[in-house]
Amino acid sequence: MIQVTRLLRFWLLVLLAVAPIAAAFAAVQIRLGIADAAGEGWSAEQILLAIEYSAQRPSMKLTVGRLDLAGWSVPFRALELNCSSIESAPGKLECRSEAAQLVVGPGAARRTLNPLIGVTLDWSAGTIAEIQIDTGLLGVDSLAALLPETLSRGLSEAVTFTAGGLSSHVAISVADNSATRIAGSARFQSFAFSDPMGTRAGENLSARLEFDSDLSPDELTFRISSEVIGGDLFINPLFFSWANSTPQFSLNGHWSKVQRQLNLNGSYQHPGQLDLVGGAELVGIDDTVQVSSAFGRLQVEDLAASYRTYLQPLLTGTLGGDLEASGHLGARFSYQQGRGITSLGLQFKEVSLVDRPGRFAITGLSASLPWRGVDNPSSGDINWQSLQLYRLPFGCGSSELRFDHRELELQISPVALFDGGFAGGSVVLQGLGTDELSVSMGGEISPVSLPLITAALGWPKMAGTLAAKVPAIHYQSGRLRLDGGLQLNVFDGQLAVSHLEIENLFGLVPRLSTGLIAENLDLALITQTFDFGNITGRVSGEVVGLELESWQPVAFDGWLQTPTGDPGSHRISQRALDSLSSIGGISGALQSTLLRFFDDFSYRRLGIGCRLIHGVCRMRGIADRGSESAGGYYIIQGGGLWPRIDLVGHNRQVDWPVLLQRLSAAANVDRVEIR
Amino acid sequence: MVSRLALWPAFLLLTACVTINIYFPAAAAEKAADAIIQEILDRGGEPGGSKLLKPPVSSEPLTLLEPHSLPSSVWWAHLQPLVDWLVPPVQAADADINVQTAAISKIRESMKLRFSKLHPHFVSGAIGFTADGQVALRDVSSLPLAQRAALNPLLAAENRDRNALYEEIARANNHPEWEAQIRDTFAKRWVSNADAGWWYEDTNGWQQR
Repeated sequence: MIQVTRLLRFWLLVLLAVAPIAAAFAAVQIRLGIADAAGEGWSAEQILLAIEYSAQRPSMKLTVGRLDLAGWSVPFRALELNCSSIESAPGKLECRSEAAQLVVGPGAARRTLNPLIGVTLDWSAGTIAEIQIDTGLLGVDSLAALLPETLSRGLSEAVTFTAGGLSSHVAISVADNSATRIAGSARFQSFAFSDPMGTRAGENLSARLEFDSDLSPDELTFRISSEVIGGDLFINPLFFSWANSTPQFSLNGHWSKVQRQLNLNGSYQHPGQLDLVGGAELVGIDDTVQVSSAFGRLQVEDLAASYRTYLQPLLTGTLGGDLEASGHLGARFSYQQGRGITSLGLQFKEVSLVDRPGRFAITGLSASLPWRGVDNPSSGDINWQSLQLYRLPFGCGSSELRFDHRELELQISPVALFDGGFAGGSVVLQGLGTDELSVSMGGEISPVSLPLITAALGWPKMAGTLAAKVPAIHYQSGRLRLDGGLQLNVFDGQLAVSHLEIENLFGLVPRLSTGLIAENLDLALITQTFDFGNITGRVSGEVVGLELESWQPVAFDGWLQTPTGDPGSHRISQRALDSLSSIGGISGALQSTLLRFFDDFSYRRLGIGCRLIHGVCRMRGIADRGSESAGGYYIIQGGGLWPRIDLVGHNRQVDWPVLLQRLSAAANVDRVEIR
Repeated sequence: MVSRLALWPAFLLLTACVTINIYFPAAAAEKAADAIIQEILDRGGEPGGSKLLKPPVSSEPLTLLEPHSLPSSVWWAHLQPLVDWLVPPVQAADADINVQTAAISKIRESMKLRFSKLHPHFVSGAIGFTADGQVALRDVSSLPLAQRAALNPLLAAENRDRNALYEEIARANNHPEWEAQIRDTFAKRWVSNADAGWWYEDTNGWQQR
């Protein structure tokens, strides 16, 4: 560049020098031919400069037969610069070329370009030369020929441009002290590109770009700003369709050759969606580039739209991949080499996250979550309007948070659950930012009416209450374990849940295992609940090794019987007997015609057991009747007041799904699904 | 002293580590995979799932008793009857692959329902089978841009089902460690059951059936 301008300056000075001589004649024509010339990074052949000095104005024509530039293997040909009139003033010369020409590209890809080029030489104010170029509209093939080879090859290996045009205006000023300024604007029109598999592709992309840069031997400063005008872009998995709201970005940078340091500052704004600013300091050490510090700030104005555009595609397949999200959020981070992430902050304002598959939902979430590095304790707070886990709706609540060395502790305010609540809750998250994240929580569930819980879970309505003291729940890698037990006051008796473990909690096949102990449940209440007929008396028992897969029982060993010395009345209604019989595999002594005239019967004790393995329920009763292999088993043994009844089961192997169907038919409830 | 020495064989007998190797029933797994795949691809696979599938007659013995840390084979020859008596040889475990659990049925049902949405994309080559038994985006250039992104959630859901399916089959057969082999078997069977023109990935990249 420097040599070109010096060359030009020389010849133009010659032109000025001959002007007085020329003025003496009507017209002077000077033709200068140079066979070849070369400089650092360029060489040119067949240079011809024709200067005509007429009475009115000087004009000039410069042609270069072939121009080779470093980085371009195909030479530029037939460069032509016509200055039909040269404006001159003291210390200044200006040439505007209306018919410039340049031939680029090899063989069949050869294109002739006709840019508008203006050259101004001004040595009065320090600047030596200014060149203005208007490229006109350049198609993708012209652009491919114009770009430096490494860039165009790199691009064409990645993607193929099929349509588009670029028009740009570039101003290059070269000063005496070798400082060069390149500034200009460009307009990309209707670009279309695609990689071979179509996973990175754009259609109809239009954008405006402005740039400005200052170059000196030791420094480079640049400012780029751009605005997308429209188009569709798919960079797997992100898809943008820009019609109304178009993003803008800017990038400013400074490169110091002496310090080998690059400072970058950038911003990305998507109006109505998000606003991102960030910066980084990069240092070149030997042949590697290292980030010595960086920061970023994000403001999400509309989480609903930003989630759909930016987050959801990236979270597909995770727990956060299928949400209804809304609200505002802010995030920031800072990084320093050698110290890692030095601070992180997250702010939620009126955020609502609702899992479409219905596993969880939180609304009215506001939170301030600061983090000042591993070694600096910090505290924050979080509050919410409602919280739902599967079908259990919790009320509003709040919590203090304390971060300390990869550990987060929450002290949760009392939270309502139907007519009861969850109080004294504390949650500790350990191993934050590592693969071994674990969550422990404890608290107390104050009595909640079971009819409300069972209705919410879609279970048969149960009377009673649920209360529990939860010493500790541990959660790690999708596995939830309950230390201690849940105590349910149900059917006027007690139901204790122990050894509760859920594996794969939010996965496709959650797996729950637990044990149950039932004490003194009132059969009258149970049979009312399940619309099963009427049985009076009490029942106790246990379920060992209960395993649910996808909330369906797959294994257990359960046993229920009349507790010894149960003092109350033991009656079973005709209807309850019918229900029991209809379950199948059970033949009641009721079949004898006389007994069907009685409404209810007296029994001494009842007992029924089922051991479920591989979809088959192995039934047992209080006692065998006859041999174990051939005979039946007593489910009810008669006693007390007349009429008495014995109920004997015969089928010891019952298909579990069939049993469930018959139970639900008999109890007049829909298929029981535990959620 | 002599009596103490006499106790040694008994001690060794008790501490001898007995390993039970159960080989992966490859042929049975293939048949089970075929039945499931054909059902999902709607090729008239047994809807209820393959019942217990018999292993081929030529298959290796499925269980072995391997003594470890015994000082010499001579001892072993004498002791074996005694060991057999104390630790009865494990009966050759059934070489069948069980695919009949509620969880597996649920996954199969979900995959079967989804397949009609995936089918046109297998045909167009927009998606293909990967070497690890999943599905992945391949050449989506024939689809409008807006539809390309919509394929990802579909593939994620399918892969979630597939991963769960392989894991559940291994678990249903009481061998969670078989998951990789079951995945491998399925990966091969998906390809074998694919229509001509569908794409699959192997070590050399994408290939067409």
